[in-house]
Amino acid sequence: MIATLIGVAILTLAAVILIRRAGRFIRTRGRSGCANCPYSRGCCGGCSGGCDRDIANS
Amino acid sequence: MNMTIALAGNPNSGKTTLFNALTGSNQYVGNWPGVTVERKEAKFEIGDDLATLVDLPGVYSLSPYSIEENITRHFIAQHQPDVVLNIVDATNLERNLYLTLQLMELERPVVVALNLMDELQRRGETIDCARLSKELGAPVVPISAKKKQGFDPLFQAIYDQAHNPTPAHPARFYEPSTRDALREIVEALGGFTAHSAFDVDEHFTHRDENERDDDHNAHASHRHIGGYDDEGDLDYAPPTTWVALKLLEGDELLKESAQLSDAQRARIRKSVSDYVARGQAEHPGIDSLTLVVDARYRRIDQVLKAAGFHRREREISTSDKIDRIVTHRYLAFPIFLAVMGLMFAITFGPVGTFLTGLTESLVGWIGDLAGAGLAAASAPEWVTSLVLDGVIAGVGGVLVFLPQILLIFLFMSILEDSGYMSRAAFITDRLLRKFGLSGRSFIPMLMGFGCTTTAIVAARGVENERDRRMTILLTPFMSCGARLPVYGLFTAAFFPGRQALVVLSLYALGMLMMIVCGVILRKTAFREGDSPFLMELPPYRLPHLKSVLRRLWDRAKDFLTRAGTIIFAMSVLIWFMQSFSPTLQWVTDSAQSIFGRLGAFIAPVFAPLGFGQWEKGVALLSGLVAKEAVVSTLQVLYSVGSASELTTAIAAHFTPLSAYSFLVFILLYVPCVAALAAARRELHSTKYFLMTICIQLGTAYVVSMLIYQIGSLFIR
Repeated sequence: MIATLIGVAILTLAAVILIRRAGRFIRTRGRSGCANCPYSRGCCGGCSGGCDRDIANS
Repeated sequence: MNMTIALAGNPNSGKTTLFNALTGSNQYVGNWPGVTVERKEAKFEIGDDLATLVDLPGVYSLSPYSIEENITRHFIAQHQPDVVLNIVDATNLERNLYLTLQLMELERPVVVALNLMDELQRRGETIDCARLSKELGAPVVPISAKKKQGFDPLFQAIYDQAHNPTPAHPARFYEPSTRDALREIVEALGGFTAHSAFDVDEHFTHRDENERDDDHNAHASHRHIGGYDDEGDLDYAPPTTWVALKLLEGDELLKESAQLSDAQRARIRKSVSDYVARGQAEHPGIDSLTLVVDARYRRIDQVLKAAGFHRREREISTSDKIDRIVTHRYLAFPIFLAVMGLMFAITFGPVGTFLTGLTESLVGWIGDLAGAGLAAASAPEWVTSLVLDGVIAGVGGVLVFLPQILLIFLFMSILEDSGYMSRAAFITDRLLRKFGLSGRSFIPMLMGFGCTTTAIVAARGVENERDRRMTILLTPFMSCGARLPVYGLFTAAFFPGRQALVVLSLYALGMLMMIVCGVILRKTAFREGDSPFLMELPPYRLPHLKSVLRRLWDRAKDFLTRAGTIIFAMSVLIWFMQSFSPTLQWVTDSAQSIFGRLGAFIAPVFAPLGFGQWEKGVALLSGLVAKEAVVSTLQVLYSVGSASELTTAIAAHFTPLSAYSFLVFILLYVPCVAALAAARRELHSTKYFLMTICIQLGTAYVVSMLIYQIGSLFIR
């Protein structure tokens, strides 16, 4: 039972992450794609109000 | 009192060192809204006051040409910080003081922090700071940002300027012709208190990003609105004298955006042409901008002379001696390749492999623990598969490469901080020019070694439209950091002992394809003339260990967050799509899964390239989201638990030739969706965007196919 719940939780979490990221990506016209990206560190094209990094840091 | 201090200065003047020394780790790092430039700010105490220190981009002047300059002048003119803290490199006074004068023209209280005084003294040169301060009209405080010396008098000067501001007006000391022209223009604008009489609206008005027309050229609009969208209501207009100076210089941004009547424009035009006529009497052919620049430099000469500045006859510095070898006509490129080779040898050689092995052991232990726990809990088969074959395999498969990624970034940070990367751009510029490409474009391309998205956006700094488009089209050929896990996996499986050489060959191939495509584009779609390229070669410096390590730590945190979010979610999605059929039935044969059916469609396309199996095609698709996802996809699809098992599985499903062909395809095909979105935004043309995709896919396909087909003739 617990294992099944864990499985469901993982699937739900993954779905939520994907849906939210996809939504943010569309809303910010791709700028949020660089959120938490270690390769770009510091810039990813301007994130007026839509960048995960700014939101995470605010 | 809460005060805002803007920190401004030339690049390589010690600005970042000073910022870090003043604020420690108490920093907020973000972006200047709407643009690519990093914004740092932090708070610290000066006496009873709480100061917010805003780090402005490093600039040489306040022209309207680059986003960094626009950010600096916009922030100071519109947000009117309490103090502008200008860090000046004492070993390069003439160049640094040019910016100082321009900062002072914005009529905010300025404090000059004169850095690297010890180096100045070592050269046998002297300057009287008190007299310099008197001549400039702003406090000048000698400091050493690296050794944290001089901070107490610096804080005192900042405090005094904030509480009893004494903004100076350097234009009052420019030669008479310039002063007369300025006076006329100020009168045309309506006088010194004319802020309400004219309206520099477009330049400084807040504009909502979402209101912009999609077809509107982003590059032009960035210049037009001063570089970026601002965050709030702006209470201040820029100083009238400053506006007059900019109009005298012929600043296009101001000319277009200042809302003036026809009569005002006519008067201003006359003042400018009279000014130019006076200047041309002495210097035929000179323009108004050069006259103003000359006025500033004459003032700098006066100031330095009055301050008793003595410059020694310049000796050949250590940096010059090193550059004689490093930028040598014939040695430069081999040295560059050797440096890159050494970087890869350490990363993919014994050191990197050892560290990766440690991470792999950790991931394996976590997998064993999870497996035992699930077995003890009698977990259903699908849950066990999800956790072990999905999450742990997928995320773990990427995590094991963290040490190698950090090693690469460690070396790149060291190369950057030491000053060598500028030489790399200089050396490559010489090479690129032979093929008709602009060296100015190589700086964003060099950033492509880290991240393609960053590099594409950095192409905004390339003023020439043709060069900018070509930079965006060609930058994706520079192998980005996210591809490293894929290289690491395949080279470990097929080329043990020669991993560094293989990775180096991929980077070199990427650069070669960049040149080849660039030459073809130059002769076809982008035929216009050449653009000049000016860059500074900073002196070599020992990298600051603390800042290098801090940056590495930040990257590691980001990598782990990325692994825990998008890579995790992608791994679960891939597991789902290869575990369930299109009718959502649990399948044990992956070929019957959603992915299997999808992959069966695209697999034949890749057959001529040597990897015509559905798993490989699907892995390439997942690479569109994040290149590291190729590794996690293969790990999930081949149902293996650890990186070493994946290496074995890869070895069973590829040959060395098809593996290299696959790596070449990974190298050259389209970058991730974030980079594609950035390219679409920056190109602002569907035609060029589609051209980018076609060029990259076409090049990847053709080159991979040639390698595999020709290689097959010799290797079985």
